[in-house]
Amino acid sequence: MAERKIVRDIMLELFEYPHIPYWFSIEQVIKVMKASFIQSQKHTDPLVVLVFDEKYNLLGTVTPKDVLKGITSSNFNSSVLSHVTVEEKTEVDWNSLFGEESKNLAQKPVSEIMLPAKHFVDPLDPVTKAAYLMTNLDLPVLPVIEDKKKLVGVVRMFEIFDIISDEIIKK
Amino acid sequence: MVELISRDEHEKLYLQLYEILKKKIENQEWKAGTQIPTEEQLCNMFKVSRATVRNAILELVRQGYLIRQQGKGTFVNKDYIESGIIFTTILKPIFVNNETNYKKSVATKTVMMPLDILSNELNIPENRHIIYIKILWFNEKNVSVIQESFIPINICPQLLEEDLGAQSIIDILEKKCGIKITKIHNYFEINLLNKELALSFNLPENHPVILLTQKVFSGDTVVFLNKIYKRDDKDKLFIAFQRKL
Repeated sequence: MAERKIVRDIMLELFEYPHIPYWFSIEQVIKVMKASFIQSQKHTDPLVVLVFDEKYNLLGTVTPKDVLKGITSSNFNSSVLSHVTVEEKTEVDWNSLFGEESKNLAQKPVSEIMLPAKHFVDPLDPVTKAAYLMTNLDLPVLPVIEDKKKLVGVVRMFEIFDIISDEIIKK
Repeated sequence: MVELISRDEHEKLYLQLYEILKKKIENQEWKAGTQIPTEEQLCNMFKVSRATVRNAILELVRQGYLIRQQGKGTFVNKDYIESGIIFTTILKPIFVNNETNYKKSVATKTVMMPLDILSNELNIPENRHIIYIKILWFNEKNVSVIQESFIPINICPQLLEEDLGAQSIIDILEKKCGIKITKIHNYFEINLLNKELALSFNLPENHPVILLTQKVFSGDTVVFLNKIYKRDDKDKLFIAFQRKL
């Protein structure tokens, strides 16, 4: 059964993912993402950057989606979107979505847009616990903490799905 | 004239060859920037094996006398100081007069990616992790020096676990990670403090300080980069040189 598998069996090395400190600006995160995900020939899915404090404690994660949400112009009136599907002639100024204001917003620190790391698993926890946390909290990756203090890796949905789905379709 | 290697001496052949080739560079028989003979030519010249030649050259590269260029050959390092009086200095944890009055506090030890100029200065791609260390040096109650160090993580991952309060980064690199430091390039400039550093110094933003950038090499590889910011106070940046006897 899937319960036999533990987190240690499926966790990934931290250095599979880019690291940044919390004081980096969104613009710097964009540069890190471009260098690590787009220009690089090799990257590990999902696209996520790990955010740390001064003592190398994990504070949170940030994804390209978080970045785009963080630099979305406040001038963009999202309420008109509710009419798009029903009224064909509704005009939405899509160009205002990421306008000049986005450049200013990109100077904000990443700590303002990251998803804080609040949930962790232990390397000895069952994979099912990681599956529960990731599906219910919609986390891109789940940090693995050893002895309640040392960050040793992360787990992602890919391996969790692989193990649990094997059990389901097993004859 | 070719200096011969003594096979009667107990000293290893490659070390004898190393000394002979080093002399050629120091005497400017091999001039800075010029290509040295191939391994095969050196084997024939000194009647030694290719392994002996290779080890001697490797050591000269490590010591900064030679540089290897992929696909081109091995050259005498242009940065090697080939003339003038040679002085030596001692690497101290901090380059100031009154150093005994200084106390350090490790403010930051974390991991990041080397963006923009850092990637160029360390000569690594932007997607390679580096350890970032920030040390505040206090003379009495004030921060007098801020040291920022950037080390590619593959050079010495143990640094993350080490206590930097009692030992220097260079000590850890040499003693724990087996990295031999062979040269340090020092660059001095005036720097206007950014917001974050200004806060640490308790000075206004754009306040001028002296910035000493140290590029630390092992052979041709930059093993870490030091940025040392010194504010204007009663102490000065201080490096002593001593005549090599």
